[in-house]
Amino acid sequence: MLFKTAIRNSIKYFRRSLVIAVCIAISTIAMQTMDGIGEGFKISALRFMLNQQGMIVFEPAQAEPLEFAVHSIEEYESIKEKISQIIPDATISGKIFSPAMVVKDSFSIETAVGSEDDISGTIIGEKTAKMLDTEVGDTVILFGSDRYGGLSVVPAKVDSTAENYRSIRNGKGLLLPIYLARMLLRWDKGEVRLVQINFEDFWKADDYAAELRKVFPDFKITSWKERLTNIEDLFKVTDFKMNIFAAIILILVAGIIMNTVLTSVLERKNDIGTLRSIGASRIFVTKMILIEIIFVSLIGTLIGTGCSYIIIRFLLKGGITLGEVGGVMDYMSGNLYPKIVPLKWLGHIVFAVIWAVLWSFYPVLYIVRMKPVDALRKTL
Amino acid sequence: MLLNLEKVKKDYALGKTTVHAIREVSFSIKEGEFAVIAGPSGSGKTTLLNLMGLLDLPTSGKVYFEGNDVSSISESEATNIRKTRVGFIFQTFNLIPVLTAFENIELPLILKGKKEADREKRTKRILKETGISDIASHKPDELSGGQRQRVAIARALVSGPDIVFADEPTANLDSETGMQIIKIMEKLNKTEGVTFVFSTHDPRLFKIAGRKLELRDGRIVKDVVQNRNKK
Repeated sequence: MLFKTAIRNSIKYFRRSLVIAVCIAISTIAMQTMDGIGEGFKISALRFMLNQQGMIVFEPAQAEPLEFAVHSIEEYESIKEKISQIIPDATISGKIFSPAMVVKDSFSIETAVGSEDDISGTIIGEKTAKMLDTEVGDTVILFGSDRYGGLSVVPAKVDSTAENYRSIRNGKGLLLPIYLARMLLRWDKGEVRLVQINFEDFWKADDYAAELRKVFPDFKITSWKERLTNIEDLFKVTDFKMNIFAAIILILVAGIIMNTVLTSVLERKNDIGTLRSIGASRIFVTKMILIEIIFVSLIGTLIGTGCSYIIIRFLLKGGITLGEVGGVMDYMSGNLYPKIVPLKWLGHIVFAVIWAVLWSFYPVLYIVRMKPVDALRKTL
Repeated sequence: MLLNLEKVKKDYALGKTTVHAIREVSFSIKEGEFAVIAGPSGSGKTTLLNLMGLLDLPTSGKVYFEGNDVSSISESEATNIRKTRVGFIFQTFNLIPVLTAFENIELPLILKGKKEADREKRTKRILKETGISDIASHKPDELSGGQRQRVAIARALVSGPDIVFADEPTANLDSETGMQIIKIMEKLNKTEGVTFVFSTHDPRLFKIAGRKLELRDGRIVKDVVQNRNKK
């Protein structure tokens, strides 16, 4: 009877039910869409960062940060082959860090090394090129410290300016191909300082790292989760922005729901007074109204979820340029693609219903606490 | 004595002034009585019925229900008595608009926690007794005033209350239908032994009642026991 009455009431007072359903639909859309974009951002940002830094990093066990030139990995090619057997879709690249300085007058310019997969020639940042008065095709002389502590000098032909390779730190750097770095350090062919391993499903990094440790016990192997323990903090900023937006909508919606439910119960106070006078308890009446709210809210969440799905599908077609998300990280380029996390969407549905029930409590308590004789009066 | 009122007073605050709706009224209602509360509009009939039916509490004085003082009981206790012992019939019928006649009548039994089979049996019986079996599946807005009031009577009686209060049950009906409604109530009083207390200002109905309490300005000015067969 409670369900029957509640559902029939929601149909009878259709316009009020519609207002509540629309409010809940808007709340659901706000929460789910913001979450979809947030999740998409997290995954895009994470993938981008991990592709740069490596999902798994493979180093000599005794490596010290300031002794990068001494401790190297010598059997890179054979190691690469073994890694490919464990992680079939792995992209493996050997790295050498900071092998040289480019100096003009008293300026030193930061250098980086690209692996053979990334680049084949020297790339100069536009600002660096301007400062050095250098153009594509010129040769610059690189000075470095080799692994034995001696001075090494290598001529490098500038093959291009920094257009594509993430602008080499805002155009102020120089990117060397790995063979030049090896020459500067006097490292053998195939010798690298560090191996970065990337693959499609980066959530498997810990499992893969554990397998690799069994095969290569003499190396220090770390997954991104072990290295980037504070990564979640980075995303909290984005989550915060998204949550603020959703919270504003939820607060606005709460006011409308409370007002609508109050109007609705006052319109029906004679019915409620009748129920109370024939022996319906306060709990019975509360349940009856709340079931109605839950029923209408559930319909609202279903409509909202349907709309959110359509919006996310639409956004997935072209992606969102980061500028549209509003001041997010400058280290990411390209579009991000929203992601639906079904369990979280289910959580939003439950939250939206709870939100509606929560803000209906005041009107419901107001009417059930009214004396039956007052509820039966024609006026307030 | 089913119901006993001792110096019952009910005041309402209306802004800064106090309205004395009922002024130290004392009387008793016996089991099986068919009593009418007569009086002009504003004399306090509805207020008195509300106090007797535990819809409201008196400002002062005592109300005894089967010898128990119920003048200051909690709302949940009052709800429980209304659910199990009291029936109400309202001037404007007060049926739940979204429920059918059958469901409206069944409602007090649901509130009492009766099982479905028992509910169905009792509801069908009362529908038959009040002569509305044919409209059981109709919703209130599909019924005439007389039919609605019959449904309201059936709802008041279905759970087998000790006493039924009817607040001007014929006021919104034409005189013929009004008389039919009173006749149904009278028949149920005689056959089922249910105590009826109803208010009216229709002089034709006074004669049917076994007792007439006349109320004026919140006071009982006349309390007359009548011959019920006199028409």
